[in-house]
Amino acid sequence: MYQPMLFIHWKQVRHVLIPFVVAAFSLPMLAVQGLGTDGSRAVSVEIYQIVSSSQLWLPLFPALAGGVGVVLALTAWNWDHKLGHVYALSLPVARWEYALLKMSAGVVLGLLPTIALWLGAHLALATITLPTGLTAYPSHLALRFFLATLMAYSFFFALGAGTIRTTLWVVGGLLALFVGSALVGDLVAAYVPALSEMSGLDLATRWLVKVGGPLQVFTGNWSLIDV
Amino acid sequence: MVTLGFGAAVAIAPGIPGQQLPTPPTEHELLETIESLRPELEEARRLAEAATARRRTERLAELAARPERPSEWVQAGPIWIVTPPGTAELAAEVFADVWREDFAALTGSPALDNAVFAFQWAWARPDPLVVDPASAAGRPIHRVELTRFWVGSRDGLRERVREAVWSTLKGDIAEGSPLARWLGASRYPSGERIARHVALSAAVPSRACLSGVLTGCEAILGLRGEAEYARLATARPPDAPAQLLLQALRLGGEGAWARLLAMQHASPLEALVWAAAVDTDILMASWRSELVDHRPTADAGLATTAGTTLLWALALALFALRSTRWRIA
Repeated sequence: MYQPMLFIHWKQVRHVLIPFVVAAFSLPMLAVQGLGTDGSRAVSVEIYQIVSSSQLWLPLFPALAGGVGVVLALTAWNWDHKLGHVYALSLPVARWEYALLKMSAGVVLGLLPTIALWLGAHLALATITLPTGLTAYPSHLALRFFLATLMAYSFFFALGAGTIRTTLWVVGGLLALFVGSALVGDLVAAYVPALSEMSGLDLATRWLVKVGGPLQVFTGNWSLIDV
Repeated sequence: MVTLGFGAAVAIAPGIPGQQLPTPPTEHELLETIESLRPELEEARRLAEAATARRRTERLAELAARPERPSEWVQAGPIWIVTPPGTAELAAEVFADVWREDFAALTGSPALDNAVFAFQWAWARPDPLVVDPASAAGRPIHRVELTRFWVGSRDGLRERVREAVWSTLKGDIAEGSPLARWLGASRYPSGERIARHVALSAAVPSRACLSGVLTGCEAILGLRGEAEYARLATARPPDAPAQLLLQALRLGGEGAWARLLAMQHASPLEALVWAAAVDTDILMASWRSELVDHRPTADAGLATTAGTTLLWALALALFALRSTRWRIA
């Protein structure tokens, strides 16, 4: 049962996933292009240049991971929604088992861009010589990439699995959290000046990206090359 | 029409032959301009600080006029703390941790023995704690009054307390002494920040120091004369002097702070070596090993991140398994 699910998902997503795989493979190479010790400049200048230049590309890695996750999640449910769930209902499996198989198939497909990124990072690093004091972290970067893909995939997969009403509730709830916390924060600060330092919006954002928050994986150190 | 004509004239203006573009200022001119603005900036900063201090004094006077609020006194090491009832235990615990972990070797500091720390940690911004003048007996009060919103964890609290104790300790060093000038505005050092700064520095002595050349470490720490101190200002991590000083005190053990104060009018290196009671090379090697030990790693927190992400993915998967559009009934 698992293999057909994986195959169907692959058929659905391949045209969109392949460009992502190519992008994941190429991004590390773009990040290190023109860098490395060539002996013509002082090592100290090399270090500064390598770190500052490679960091310019950093935001693209989590963005790409997020994109992969969204694409995999949306294509996972695409044909079910299109065909009115007839195929799924014809199978001799429970609903939860069907969803689990489908989700794990997406996770496995998420490994493709991750492996491409890992290979690309190793290849990119093989083309440059790092000066003493700098270290390359291709495997850490690949792991972060996979985790970020998994997070985005899980969130949108859960949304896709539910009804339109659930999706509206979740998206509406998130919007309400941001807008409401900002409004309530301002209102409270206006009446209780001692609470003016407490911003609901800051609190919500902090909770999302700090330790324990769902978006924590998208922050942190995404460096391919660091000290 | 006039506007269009004017726009067109402006658009083609750079292309008119013979028209000279203004020469961009040289780096020297830019630096001079920036330097000329410095007195105004300093004056504005001084006025802002004076206004803040005035507001605080007024607020304290206003609070002092109200019926006295109860407060408790606790002690951690040589540190006296005054705090509202209910937070005395927390204050004692946090200050004792900080004292034991970071300053235990610094016995005999007149500034610390004489100081009182007013400690508060509240959800809303706390009013300054009014300390009974009779109890404080004229001792200077250092305020560690924080809101949970900005400082949400005990680690954050310890960081602020550490900073407050460090800035109080610096009060022992005579203003204008070579040691005070060398320390500058050093805050309590973060080993990781200093290691990153040195590793990414574009200065040759930084590379030398990392490779094990101790004179390179001396140079970036500004211990090889005034000229080197100024020349390597950007290569020197701002808090590195504080890190070396604390390292010297740890090496010196009992009485190191008193020895340091006794030599504060000598050169910083002499004072540090005297306090540490070791050779310059041993002191520098010790600082360098501290530097290398604190080298930041890219995988810091990765295990926590992985665990958190897997838990969230699991939770979302459970939602996906429960939620359904199969409502054919």
